Amino acid sequence: MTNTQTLEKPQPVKRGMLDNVLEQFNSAADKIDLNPNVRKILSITNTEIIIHFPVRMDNGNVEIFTGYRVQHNNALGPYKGGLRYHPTVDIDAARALAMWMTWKTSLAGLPYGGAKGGIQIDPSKYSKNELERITRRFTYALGENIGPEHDIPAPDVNTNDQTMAWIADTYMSTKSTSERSKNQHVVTGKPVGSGGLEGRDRATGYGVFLTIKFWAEKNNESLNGKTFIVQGFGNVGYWAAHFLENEGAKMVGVQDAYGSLQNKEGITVEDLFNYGKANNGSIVGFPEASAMDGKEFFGLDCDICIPAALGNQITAQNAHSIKATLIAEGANGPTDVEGEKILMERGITIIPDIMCNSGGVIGSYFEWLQNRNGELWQMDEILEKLEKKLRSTFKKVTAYSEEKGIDMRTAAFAIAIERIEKAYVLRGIFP
Amino acid sequence: MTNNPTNLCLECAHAAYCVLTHNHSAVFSCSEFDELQHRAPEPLLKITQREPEMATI
Repeated sequence: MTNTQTLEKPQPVKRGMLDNVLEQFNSAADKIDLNPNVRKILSITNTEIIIHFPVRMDNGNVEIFTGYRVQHNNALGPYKGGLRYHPTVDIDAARALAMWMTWKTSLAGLPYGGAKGGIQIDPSKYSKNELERITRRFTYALGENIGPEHDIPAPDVNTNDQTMAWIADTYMSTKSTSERSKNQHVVTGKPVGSGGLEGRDRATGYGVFLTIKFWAEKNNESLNGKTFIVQGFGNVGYWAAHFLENEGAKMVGVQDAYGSLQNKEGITVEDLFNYGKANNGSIVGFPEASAMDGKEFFGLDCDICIPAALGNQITAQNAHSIKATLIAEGANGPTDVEGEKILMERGITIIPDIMCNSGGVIGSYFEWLQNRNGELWQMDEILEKLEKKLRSTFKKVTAYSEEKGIDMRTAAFAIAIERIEKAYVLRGIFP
Repeated sequence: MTNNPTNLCLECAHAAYCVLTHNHSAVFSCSEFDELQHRAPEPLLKITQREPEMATI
């Protein structure tokens, strides 16, 4: 009898987010010849917390939830990073995103480290009252693992200013009466009337605009008359387009989840925004532009391309067709490795995501400072401070890039990692 | 340790018709993400204003 059983081909191991982030780190670390001891420290997270906690539902039953908080590194200051509520939240995703936050806060020159966390939950299945109890119970369970000078969560996917208000209130309630108000900055992204920052909604989009403006200034160019396309017309894409239009630039293409529009003569940003508001958020059918095939979107004729929605949008498939001379990465990871290689060969400049969309975390830092110092900042003051902070980062990245003859992304990672390396070298390792 | 790809699209209100990507298996961040069921934020404390009373004298 012959054995006809065939062995299954070994399945390739799925690459997780952590693998990608580690690869990015190791590549930058190789380029800067990172101290091997510091490399060991940064390759792993400092603390990983998994909490199973019970919450009573509206029907009287108790459900058990799983929450995570991963603290990657705090060499530069308290851990900082979002909390997301989503069924795919797990320890691997939290590790990768925490590490990413460490690089982002370091590059922005903030006194923060990196963290991330969340609850493995589908929030659409729970009532608002249940979500409040889940949030409050998770906050209580985290206890002193978060704190205004230790680990400062912020909104992320499916969490918002209301969630942050619940966390702040719960955390503050665990303190003695006289200590409560000292702890308001345990989270950022709070409602404006409850310690939140004026203009937090536009901070990321304004930051995207600023990096484009700095790039134009550096190249002695004016934004007036420049054409741009933007993918994503949410908080990031809309505000970036809004500020660009104010500088005289012209939006000639826009894409959101519903569809893609183009008009060579220009699309008025505010008109489109108002149209979207009146049409359940959809830009489709806007009378001053024509619909187009989404696959052709990145090939539109323009000077500046702003992918401000999601990752892996500029790839080997479309990088050859891009007409823009500048890509401003408003989203996280919109250009994949192959796409980037093609853009580099074609001499197209990329303002990397880690710098381009850092306006949001800088805004969080301002909120934290504002609460910590008992101040209330005005919008113009905040935007001015944001410009100063981002300008400094932009100058550092471009100078490093030119000095070493490397692209801005590698320069940005190198600066972020070197800043942490320096902190370790100066202070040493205990004991 | 699990190695599951993160997929925000699973719970996104736009998943059925979204033109931004066909690769829904590894979206970990998206500015267009909207929850399946929109829950309008309600104020923590509802402040109700008294109806103005008519003068009786």
